[in-house]
Amino acid sequence: MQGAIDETVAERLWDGQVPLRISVHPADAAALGVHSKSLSLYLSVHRFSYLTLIATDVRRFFADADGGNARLGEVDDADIWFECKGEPLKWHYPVGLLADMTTAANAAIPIAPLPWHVTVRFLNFPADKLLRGHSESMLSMTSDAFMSMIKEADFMRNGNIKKVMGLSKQDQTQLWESFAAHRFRDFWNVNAQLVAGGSEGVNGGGSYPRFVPMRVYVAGCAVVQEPVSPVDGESDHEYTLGEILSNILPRYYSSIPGGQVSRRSPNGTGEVTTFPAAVPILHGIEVPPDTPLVWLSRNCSYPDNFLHVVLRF
Amino acid sequence: MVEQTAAVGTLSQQQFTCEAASLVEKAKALGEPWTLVEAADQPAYLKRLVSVRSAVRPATDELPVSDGVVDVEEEPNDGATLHSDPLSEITLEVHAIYSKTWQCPVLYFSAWSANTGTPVSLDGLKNAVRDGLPDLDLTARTAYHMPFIAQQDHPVLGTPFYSIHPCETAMLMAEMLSNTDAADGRYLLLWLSLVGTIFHPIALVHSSYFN
Amino acid sequence: MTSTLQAPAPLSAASSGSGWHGLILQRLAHRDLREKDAFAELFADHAAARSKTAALSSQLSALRLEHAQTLKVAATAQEFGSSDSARKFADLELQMRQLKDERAELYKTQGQNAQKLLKLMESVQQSDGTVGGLQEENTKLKAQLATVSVSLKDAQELIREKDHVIQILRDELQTHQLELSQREGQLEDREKRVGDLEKENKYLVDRWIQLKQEQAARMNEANEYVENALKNKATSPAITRQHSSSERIYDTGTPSFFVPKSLTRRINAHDGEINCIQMSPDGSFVATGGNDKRVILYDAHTGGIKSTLSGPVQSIMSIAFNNSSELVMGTSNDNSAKLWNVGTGRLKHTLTGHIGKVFAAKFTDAGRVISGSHDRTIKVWDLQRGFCADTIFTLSSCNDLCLLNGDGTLIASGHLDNNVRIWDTRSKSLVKEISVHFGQVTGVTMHPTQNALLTTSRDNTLKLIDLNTYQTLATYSHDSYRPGMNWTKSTFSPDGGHIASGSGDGGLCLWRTSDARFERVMKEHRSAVCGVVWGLKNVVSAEKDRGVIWWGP
Repeated sequence: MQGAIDETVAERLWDGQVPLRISVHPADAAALGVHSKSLSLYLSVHRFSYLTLIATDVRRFFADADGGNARLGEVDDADIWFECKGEPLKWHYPVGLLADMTTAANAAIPIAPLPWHVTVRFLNFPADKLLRGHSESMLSMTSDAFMSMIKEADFMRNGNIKKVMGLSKQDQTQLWESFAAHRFRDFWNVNAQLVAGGSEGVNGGGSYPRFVPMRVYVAGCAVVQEPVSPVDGESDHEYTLGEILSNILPRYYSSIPGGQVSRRSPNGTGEVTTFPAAVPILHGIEVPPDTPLVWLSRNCSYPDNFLHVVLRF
Repeated sequence: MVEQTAAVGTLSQQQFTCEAASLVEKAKALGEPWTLVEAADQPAYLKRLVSVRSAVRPATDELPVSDGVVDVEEEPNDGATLHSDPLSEITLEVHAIYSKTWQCPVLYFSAWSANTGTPVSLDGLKNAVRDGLPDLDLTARTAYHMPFIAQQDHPVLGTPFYSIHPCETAMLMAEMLSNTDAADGRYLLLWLSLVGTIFHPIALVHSSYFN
Repeated sequence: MTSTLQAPAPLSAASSGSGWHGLILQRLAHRDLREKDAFAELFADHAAARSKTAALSSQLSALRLEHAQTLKVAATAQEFGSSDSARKFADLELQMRQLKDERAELYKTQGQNAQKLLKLMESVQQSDGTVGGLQEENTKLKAQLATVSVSLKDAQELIREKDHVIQILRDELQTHQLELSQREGQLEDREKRVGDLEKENKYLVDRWIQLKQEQAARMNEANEYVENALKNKATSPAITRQHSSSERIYDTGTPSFFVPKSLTRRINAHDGEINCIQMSPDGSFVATGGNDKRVILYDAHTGGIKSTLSGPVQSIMSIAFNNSSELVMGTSNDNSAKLWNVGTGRLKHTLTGHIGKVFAAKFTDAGRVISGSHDRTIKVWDLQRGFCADTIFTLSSCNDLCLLNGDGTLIASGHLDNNVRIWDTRSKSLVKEISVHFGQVTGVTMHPTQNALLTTSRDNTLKLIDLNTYQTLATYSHDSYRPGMNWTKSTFSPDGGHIASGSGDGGLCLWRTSDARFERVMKEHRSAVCGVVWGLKNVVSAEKDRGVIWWGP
């Protein structure tokens, strides 16, 4: 198992976009005196991007479209937030993950209607639900969160943060800047050093990571982040995504195609009910359960080096 | 498949659960409000609420902590004159949560106005206490150039909490354990007294816990 | 790094023959078709449409504006082209007639205006006259302003000087306080000593009485023996007339002097500013002293320079002659006084002992010199023995002093603290302090025939003080009289009937003594006059800027 990157997949993922229809929340429009209430901004946003990276453009669009709304022009970027169907959207999650979560939450419609309708808010920041940025530092907050994830992923893979810290200062800076500027090759020139290969001393060749940086999102539950080893230490068997999910989330997932899972009903009666197994969604597609986890991690992780898998029921 | 390598300065989940339970027991004996929050399908975590009354009068040297209330204000005898502004009464909520990734406990905390329930920023918390919380430094960075204190989603609740970045914890704890006699079974206590210093002069645990 | 980026991807063993990789690519392609490609053109078109709309709406608003303007123009045009334009023409003709009438009226008004213009021209000419007057007045006022500015400058100068004096006075006060405490200590010691001495005295007196009694007994024996022998002898007592040495040369004969009126001679002999002038009692010499550290002796009658006396290392501040006119003395800022022989021009004595500038010194009949200094002491010098015989503490810097009697047992001194003091030099006690001035007392002069003292002060007055009653007999002042130095000296005419004193502006002022009437000011000096002397045959005055003037009747 050599640490090569499947560029076809990586580039396609890199260029993935979600069509957004953004409109001003009626309450904010009224409070700020925005006249063109029915106006929407249609924007195709990269799945890997963050909402904070488009916030300023969105505010400018509505300020200009409204004939130079001065009050809108003065809104602090740290006060801008987005919501979908009344739920605040976490700015430190990639847009693609947010889209997948929204789609998954809407179990009734397997394919979400597009474009994805998002409401932009300029007032009443929900500090109890969203991480609060500092005035004029949203970009550095986002980069801090991004780098924090990369370092945590490095720690999970290697048991230390030596790979990231071993990067030159320029490479560390380039990691974020090329990401923010959406320069595929510049980003991967650095990122390949992190994701390729595994930790030294494990499994002889050092080709497997210690744990795979992965988070699994289940609507209504806490985010699951387990230390997941990609390979059976004894048999050298590379685990598939399906095997891992059925192992760490047996109540929601079964590796048997079309299988069912049984768990206690959430209403607390203690009754054990059976449900259809959930479907793992990553980057807007259903991932084949037999995909090897180590390949998935290397080629299909978000730029923050994590696999953000959403379970859809 | 889920393997636990016991590196120096780390703690296993089992140990965490065990030490957390004994800490709660001890706290109960001491009359201090540490609780273990357990829910179905969720990892358990330690929790403590600290009521911080903003200071109006000079603080006494000894901070009474045994009742779980850090009362930085001298008890006003003529209650009419200086009963602290109800808005300035702040609740500090502290959680110790086990991280499987880092194999150590991670400190999460948040603060809110005791009356209105609105979140209080770190600066607000610092300013609420006379002379501030000098060690609560938002600009500090860890050895891995991470913000030492940053807002994170609470791993169980999913809401924003401040947390202390765990990337240095194992390293620091390894050093602490090697320098402490009878450290067995006291990882959690030692860790709490270490990370708890950021709230100085508020103390999360004190020497009685070690008896 | 780039080497790890390979396409197509080498797949792991698990992927060979399995469909998961193909599935992923296929699903991703499908996803992009749905999420990306489906909207790419639509969104682009939408954005283009949006910008087009924006452009159009701005065009629209421009057109709307144009339209509104066009409408306005059209309305105006319509108005003129309407059916009632005929009526409007009639109106216009009527207006035209009215305007013609108005024009005629205006011509009339114009004529009237021309007349008014002529009148105005006349009044302008009158105004020109007034302007001339005003200009004249302005010139006068400017001259006045210049005068006032000069006075202002003088006043400022004075204030600066006064500030300096205040500083000196403060120093004096401090010294006095120090002295007082020292004296108190000394007094205590003395009292103790007095006690001891009294005891000793008593013992001695007792012994003395005892001896006297023994002596008396022996004397009585002797007297009895001698008495008989004396009975035959007659006695003839001799009467000795006590000689008064206070006789002055002015007292002799009838006053044959003159009152100065005009300049007869001007001499510039010094190399520096002149501070003082003195005439010998016999009237044959005049001496001046100055910052060139020299005393120059002139023949009083011819003005010829007789000799130049040097020796002091600082400016000469005062000059005195002894009664016989054989000795001349100059006091100096070098804290000493020097005595020269007038005949030979040789230095005879140097009196050293003062620790401040010596501003005044006088000879007494009794072979002594009394000097006053800015070290706040008056010293009495014994010329025979050549040292300081007594020191009187005067509380303030002494600017001038004069003898009230020939032997100098009573003297008057003028001080920086505005006071005049009378001293008994034998007992070294203050007889009287006279506070009549509001400025430094620069000179004190005895009236030639009366027991009265003339004081010169920087409060711009001279006062004549009765030394029996200490009442002010007269005050002499004039607008033009302002003494220019802290050592300005005044003089009486030989009969005491007139007073002469020099002013800071170079004027020499004359008053009548009896009724203080100001007689005249003579302006010949070009700078502040420091002193004037008035003998029977000559009146001479000296100015700061080196000029010495002989005056004639």
